[in-house]
Amino acid sequence: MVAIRDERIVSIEEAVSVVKDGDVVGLSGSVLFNQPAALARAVIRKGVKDLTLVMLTGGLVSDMLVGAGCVKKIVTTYMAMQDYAPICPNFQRKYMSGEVKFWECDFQHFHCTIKGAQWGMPYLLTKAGIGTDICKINPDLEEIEYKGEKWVKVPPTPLDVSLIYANKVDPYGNCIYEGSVFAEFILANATKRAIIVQAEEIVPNEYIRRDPRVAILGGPTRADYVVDVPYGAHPDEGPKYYAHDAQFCKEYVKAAKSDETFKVWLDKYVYGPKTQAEYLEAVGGITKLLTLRQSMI
Amino acid sequence: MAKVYEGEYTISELQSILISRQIKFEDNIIGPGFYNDVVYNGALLAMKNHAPNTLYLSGIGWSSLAQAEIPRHTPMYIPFEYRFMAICEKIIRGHDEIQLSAGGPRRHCDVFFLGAMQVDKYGNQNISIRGSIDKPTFRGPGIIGLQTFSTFMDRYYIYTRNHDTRTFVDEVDFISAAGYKNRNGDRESWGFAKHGWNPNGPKEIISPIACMDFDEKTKHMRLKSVHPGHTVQEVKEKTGFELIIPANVPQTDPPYEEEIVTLREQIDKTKCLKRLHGLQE
Repeated sequence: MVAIRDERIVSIEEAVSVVKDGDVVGLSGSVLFNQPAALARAVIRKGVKDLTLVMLTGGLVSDMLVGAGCVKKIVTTYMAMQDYAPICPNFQRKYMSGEVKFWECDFQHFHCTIKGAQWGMPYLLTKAGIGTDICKINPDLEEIEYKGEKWVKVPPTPLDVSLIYANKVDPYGNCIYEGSVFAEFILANATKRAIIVQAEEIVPNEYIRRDPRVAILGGPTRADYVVDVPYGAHPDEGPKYYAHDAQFCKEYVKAAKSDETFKVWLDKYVYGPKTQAEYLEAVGGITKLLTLRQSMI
Repeated sequence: MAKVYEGEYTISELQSILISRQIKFEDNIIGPGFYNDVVYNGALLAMKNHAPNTLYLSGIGWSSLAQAEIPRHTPMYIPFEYRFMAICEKIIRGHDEIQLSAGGPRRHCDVFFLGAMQVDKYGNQNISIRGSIDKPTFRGPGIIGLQTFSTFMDRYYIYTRNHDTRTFVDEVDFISAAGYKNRNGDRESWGFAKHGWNPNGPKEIISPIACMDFDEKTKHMRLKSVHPGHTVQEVKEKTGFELIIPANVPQTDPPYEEEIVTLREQIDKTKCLKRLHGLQE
């Protein structure tokens, strides 16, 4: 007898069912790249509240979660959308109203807080931030003295769940990246309950073994849940697959200016289309997708 | 003797060229700020023009322009784009690889260019909030890696898109990246130099109307040169504090023909420097 290995492929609803109110959630990608857009829309539809979002740099997808009222706190270094918005609009509005808290930090602090969680360390020290006001705006960062010198002490941020975009994944959760990689590996390593991966395509295990050097997530960081979502990073760039959607980004920035206009936007693109196929129709269908794919050359 | 370019050029093109002149033949690795068309094109121009050994760190990895050509249609200021891989010779497999190694013995980047929402007389920089911490009046995008870069890099520069009293202020509302000195002390008291990290604040500020550096003793910002078409008086009026004005302030060297030609033909192929800041500016 030969035992059969369990596949980890699930529906998107099943995958996000593990995300609970109040969770600390890691998001892959950066600004307009590699963000788990489809998973984020499913999280909004599920109506999860009080999330803490953790990502290297935020962008449209994290701002969408903020605008939909799912978020109470953001841990990141930067919240902007390239030329489209110098500051993410929902985030800016909800930060100013006090609705969303910002754990402001520098790259060094971000990596220290995630590595701290990955390694199970009580804190890490860095020189970045000395001489600045960072410890005044972020009370979790503390200026301490070690051997007569000032350092910034960074506590760990363990994650409950991480939502991660990958180019390709096999049914057992091994993930391939063919373009940009951001903080996916360390976020996955800092995740306690579940690593959820959405990918452009699901490839057979043979495909991974043909060249395991390009598998960034695997072993202890292989996905617990695998979701097949073609064009799933849209409106972000899906590296190698398609470019980001400039027209959509402009529409988003306009809509995100107020709660009222953003509610209409959410109905059109998040609550209305329940499946990825319906969503892709809503954003412009096959013509739009081919244009984005051709822009990748 | 290089020939001065006699045609029209945009402020962005001039600023790009000024940035390229700050990059020297011996520079090891340069890292321009994210999403900054002007800095990107300037850095790449330097690599093509006079710094062939220099590598360039983008969000995707390390690139050299010595052999590679910039692909047509690629806006070079969006560093994570897949298309950027065309000039990349080593990719990063996670950003901790660069950003946590910044202070280590193998410097992942040595020269950096920062943007700024506010900058003050001692080179402190703010991109976080306007107003007070308890009652901010404006939320900026966040610190990104400015503390990493201003602490560990051998030297760094600040580039601004505007020169006005809102940008150039006496004291920044919030210190996102520390300059030479401020209310929290000075570079010496912070202990950077003994680890081999940057003992200085920004080396130079490149604005759309002038270049500023810092007095060696007082660390106070000083006017270095004024761009063609602008005056010392204008710079004074548009700066929110007393600049040190030397007896003779030279005009900024205008673009040379070979700089403009290389920039337009080999670097800025999508003409973003023309589009983003028109000639009428």
